[in-house]
Amino acid sequence: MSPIGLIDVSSMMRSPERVPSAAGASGTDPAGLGGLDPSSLAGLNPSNLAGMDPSTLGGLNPSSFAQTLGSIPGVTPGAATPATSDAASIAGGQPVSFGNILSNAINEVNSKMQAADAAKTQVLTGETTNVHQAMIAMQESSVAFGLMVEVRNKLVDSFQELMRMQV
Amino acid sequence: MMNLISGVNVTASALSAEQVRMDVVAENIANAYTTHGTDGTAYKRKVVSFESMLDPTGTGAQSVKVSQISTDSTPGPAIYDPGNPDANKDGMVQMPNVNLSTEMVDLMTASRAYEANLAVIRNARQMAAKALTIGH
Repeated sequence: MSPIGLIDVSSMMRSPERVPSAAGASGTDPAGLGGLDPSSLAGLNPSNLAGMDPSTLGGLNPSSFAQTLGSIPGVTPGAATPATSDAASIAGGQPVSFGNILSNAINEVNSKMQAADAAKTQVLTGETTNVHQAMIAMQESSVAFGLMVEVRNKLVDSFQELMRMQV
Repeated sequence: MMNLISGVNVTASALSAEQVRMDVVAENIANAYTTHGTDGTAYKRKVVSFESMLDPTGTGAQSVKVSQISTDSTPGPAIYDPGNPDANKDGMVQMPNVNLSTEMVDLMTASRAYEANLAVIRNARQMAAKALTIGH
């Protein structure tokens, strides 16, 4: 276990939060849009997003949007900077995107479920009598899966919120 | 690997330790009337002792492990039973120093400690699950 995992999760939990605020009623937080990289969204679930025209999303340039917002008085773009620097220090050189963080987290959930499955098999085949270890592994994977589902719900929410945006 | 249920490693180590304690109690109770142990003499009851160690996952917490299983060398009672193959020339048989009441109390202690640690895990899991409902 590493502290990286915890930071991953916290940044994951923060990032989707911003998306609705950008697309929501205020519509003034460019950080959320900056964090929502269109390419990473397309890489997430191609089947769901296949109907979406990539050029439309590509036309939504986060940086120019941020500049436009910056010219509006009282609006300070770049609230996401602490999170991105966090993420950059985590990855240690490798390209950091929201999609990468998300897929890392999903891989961890997957490995947790595999560990739980292995522990369960070991108990059932009599290799070990550590029932509590298997139960703990199963509970942990269940909580991790719940977290993943919550993050996915947030993403879907923010996507739908974006789609509702007035053009 | 991320850890969503906090403190679970420490609690898991305690569960393993309590399991060992229960195993030792089971051995003592099973051998409460064994007059011919593996070394040829009456069975000597075993006592488990715990020690704390730094959590190997590096959280800085102290988990627990079984440091040693020692033998209680207190002499057991000698009863007069000349028909017993283990009786000495006076007809006295050296019985194990296992006291069933003591062992039952040990068993209850181990069982309750196990339950307490299970309660910790249950609550930690509930806390994590509750945290996931933030925003609902």
